[in-house]
Amino acid sequence: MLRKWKAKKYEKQERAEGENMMFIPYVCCGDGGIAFTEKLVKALAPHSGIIELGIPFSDPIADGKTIQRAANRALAGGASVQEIFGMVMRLRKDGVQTPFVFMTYYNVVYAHGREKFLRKMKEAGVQGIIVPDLPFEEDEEFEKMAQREGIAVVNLIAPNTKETRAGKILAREKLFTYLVSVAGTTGARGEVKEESVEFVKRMRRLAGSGKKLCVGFGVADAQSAQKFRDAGADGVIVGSRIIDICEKESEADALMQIGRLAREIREI
Amino acid sequence: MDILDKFIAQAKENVRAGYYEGAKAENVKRSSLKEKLTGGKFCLICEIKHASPAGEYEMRGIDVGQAAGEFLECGADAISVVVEPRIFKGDLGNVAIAKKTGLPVLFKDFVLDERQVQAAAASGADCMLLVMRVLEREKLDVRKFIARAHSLGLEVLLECYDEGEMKRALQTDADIVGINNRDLQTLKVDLRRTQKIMEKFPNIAKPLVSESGVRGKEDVQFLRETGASGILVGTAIWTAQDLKKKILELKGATAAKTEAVGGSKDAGAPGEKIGCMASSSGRFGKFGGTYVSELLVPVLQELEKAFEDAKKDGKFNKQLSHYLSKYAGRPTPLYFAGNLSEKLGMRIYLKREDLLHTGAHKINNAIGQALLAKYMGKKRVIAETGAGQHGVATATAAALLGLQCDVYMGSEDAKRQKLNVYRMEMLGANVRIVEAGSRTLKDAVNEALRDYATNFADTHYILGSALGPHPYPSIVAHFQSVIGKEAREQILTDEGRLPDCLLACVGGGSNAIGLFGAFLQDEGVKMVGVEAAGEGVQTGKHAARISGDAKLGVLHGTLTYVLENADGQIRETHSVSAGLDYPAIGPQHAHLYALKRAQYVCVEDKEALEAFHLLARMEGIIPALESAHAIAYLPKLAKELREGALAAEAALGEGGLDGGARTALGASGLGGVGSTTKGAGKMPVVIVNLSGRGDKDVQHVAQMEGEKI
Repeated sequence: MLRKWKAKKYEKQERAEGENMMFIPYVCCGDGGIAFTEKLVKALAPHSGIIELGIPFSDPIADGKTIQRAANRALAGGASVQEIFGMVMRLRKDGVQTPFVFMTYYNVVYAHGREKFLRKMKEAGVQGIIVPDLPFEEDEEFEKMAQREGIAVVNLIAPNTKETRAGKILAREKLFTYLVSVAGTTGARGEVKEESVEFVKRMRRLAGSGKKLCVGFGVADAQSAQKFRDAGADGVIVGSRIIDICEKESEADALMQIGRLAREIREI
Repeated sequence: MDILDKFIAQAKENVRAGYYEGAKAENVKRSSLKEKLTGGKFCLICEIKHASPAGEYEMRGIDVGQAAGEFLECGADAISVVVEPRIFKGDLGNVAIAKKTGLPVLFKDFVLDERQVQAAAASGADCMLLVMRVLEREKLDVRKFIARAHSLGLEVLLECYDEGEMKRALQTDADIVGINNRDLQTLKVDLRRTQKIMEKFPNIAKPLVSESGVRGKEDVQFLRETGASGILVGTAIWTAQDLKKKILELKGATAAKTEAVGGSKDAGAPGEKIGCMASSSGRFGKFGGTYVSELLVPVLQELEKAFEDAKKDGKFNKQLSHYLSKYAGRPTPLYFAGNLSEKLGMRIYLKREDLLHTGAHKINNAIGQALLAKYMGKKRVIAETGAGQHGVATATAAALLGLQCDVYMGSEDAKRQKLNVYRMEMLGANVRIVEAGSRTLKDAVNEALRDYATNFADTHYILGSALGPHPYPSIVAHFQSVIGKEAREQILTDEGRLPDCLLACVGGGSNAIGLFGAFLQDEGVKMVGVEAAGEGVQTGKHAARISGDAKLGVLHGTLTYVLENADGQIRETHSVSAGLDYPAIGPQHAHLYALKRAQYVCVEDKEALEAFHLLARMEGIIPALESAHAIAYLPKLAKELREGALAAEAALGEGGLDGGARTALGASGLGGVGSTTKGAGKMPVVIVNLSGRGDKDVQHVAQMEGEKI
């Protein structure tokens, strides 16, 4: 039996002046084979505040082309929930301490039995979960179940979320709050739009200083991360860009380039 | 040989001895046990039983009146009275005594003879127990006994011992089902029997009572969590030192706060109001909901508000009915298909939605939602399409109302419905071919939802079927409800009565819900939805959800029955008909199924193709392949309705349920009885929704069948 992994309690605190920007990479588990994902996570771990482990789903409606492609490849290659839990347990056994957060769609969790799934997360050593198609209104039961298992449900706020609602979401914050920077789907974009920066500023004002705000959707490089940092973000989530690099480069080059990207963002 | 044989032998002897002839009660005022059980609280039924079959106790000289009074005082919800006189030392007169409390009273015995049913009614009971295993072992027809009890104003609690019995029990008209936790061989009780059986029927629509074996409050809690509606307790009360204290203990546990876990209890709770408009939380029973990304939450809230406003807006409604009648061609005829009727021995009416502009019912919703888009000030509409019918309807409405239009269509569908791609383009729409996933309707919905989450500021998504996140299922049902409203009026004019059955194909389920909606409260009207069985359910290449192997899951924003693999990945579906080729069924249908208000069946590709030709040759109407699925089910339906009518007639006939009639209604006895039977002259009336015309399929069918056009 695998030994249970105990995470260090993840302290929430405001990023102090001069403290590093939190880098949260998203990896699509099983894309390129589970062994590659494992390698990628190990390479990312030293640079990452949290690692988002994507469990591929056949119908990822919140994701753009890049993550859709990655999920399809992973599923075609036979990626399964069981295999991903196995990988997490191996990583924990090998001493990887970075907090993990699953990112997957509700049906995947639902099909496995929500409580069973959450219990397995706890046993394997996954601290939180992001379910993009489970908004605040629908997650009451799930939130309670997660609380019982000590799993953090990470909620999202979008640019069109009303302030009172955003306030309620912020009040529930565990680990961090995910700010969706633009209307649309995930995917690397060129320039950061002014309205995205304004949105992050607005959320920082609303949240005050005690909350951890991390920005995702379209964050592709250190320049965009810098803009969000200036607006008050504590971290950025980078997903599609990492997949782009893995698609283009050889394994060794990909790991090197992603490592560089992580360092650049942290050094902002 | 088990204990039941002993009980059966005794019961027969009791009947022979004339025990049941003495029952008589006056001024019986009936109260419903079923209502108690479906009232939302977990019920405690206390039993008057003078002896336990396992020999745990035997009491003489119980003051039944006093005991019943104490049951009432301690909060029992109903009283069960065991009347069997020899083994259980019961008495028929105890029913009337228990009735004085005003609580519903259950007549409990080993019933295998009609005289016992009459005695139950005459004793003044509200409900009677039937034991599935007793009746089946004696080769008696359960349905007939239930019908007889109902005809005498009694409710029926049908008791089962295993999963197979439960499955059959749920197909009967029994008001309540029961699970007996006692093993008939060893007489030991095991509460997990209830749990195990309940797990197999997570969406049980009848109230269920768990019987036997409850000792203390932990047991009550355990059973409450299985999803049962109540428990029946006897031995524990009678063997307790203090009867009242024991009941209070059990009662206390029934009232303990129920934790909302997994929601087995809210599953289509029996007695729930049936409707096709969502509750305030966007649900139909436990189905439906708004499982979408945060970006779409405010957008759907805005849509819901606009929809509610528009529904009440006189100008909006006037515009809608103007376009529906002057532009789309409403009302559509309800056509009596004489040739087909004669062949099948039913009176078959076709609701001719295929005659509408653009050739299908889809235009009803497309015009409604395009007007709604204008009402909200949106400049652009998007849509998904499978068969192309909804895409064409949306492109048409957009052209009419001056809206920009993009339609998403899977490349597989675009290939088999090429003509519709041209039509959409001619109407000025931009057809966006989707290459993801199975390249069919499901993938088109994914892309449309992504577009919506990106462009909601100026775009309205005209979802074409009764699926997706709230408020879509309600919006679509509303705009399609015109089908059922017209059909109801038309059939009353033509036949002077309501139909026996409604039949419609179900992809997402918009045409079916449109027809069913107006008849939901008409209990006598049976409703059947036909799903696509593709190459056969057993091949795995199909789109049969409820009638196939779908599980409860979330797809495209709604909680419903979904075809998925063990890992929760959505499966690829197959159907010759693009419009039915979708892995989830709309949440209203899931709810109607859970409530047992509608029935869902499936037919295979080849049956649908045969029906396609059959309707063309017999009535001169070429149906869409989707609608051909409904037509294909007609022969089976004819057989079912005939058998159902016979069973009901036999149950009510003069012969009644006496011993001699016992063998009359085994399933085997029904074949070929047909029109010689009395009452068969009244032919069943069926309305089929002919939701679309087959022009779009002609080329595809010809190609499949190797003919050149």
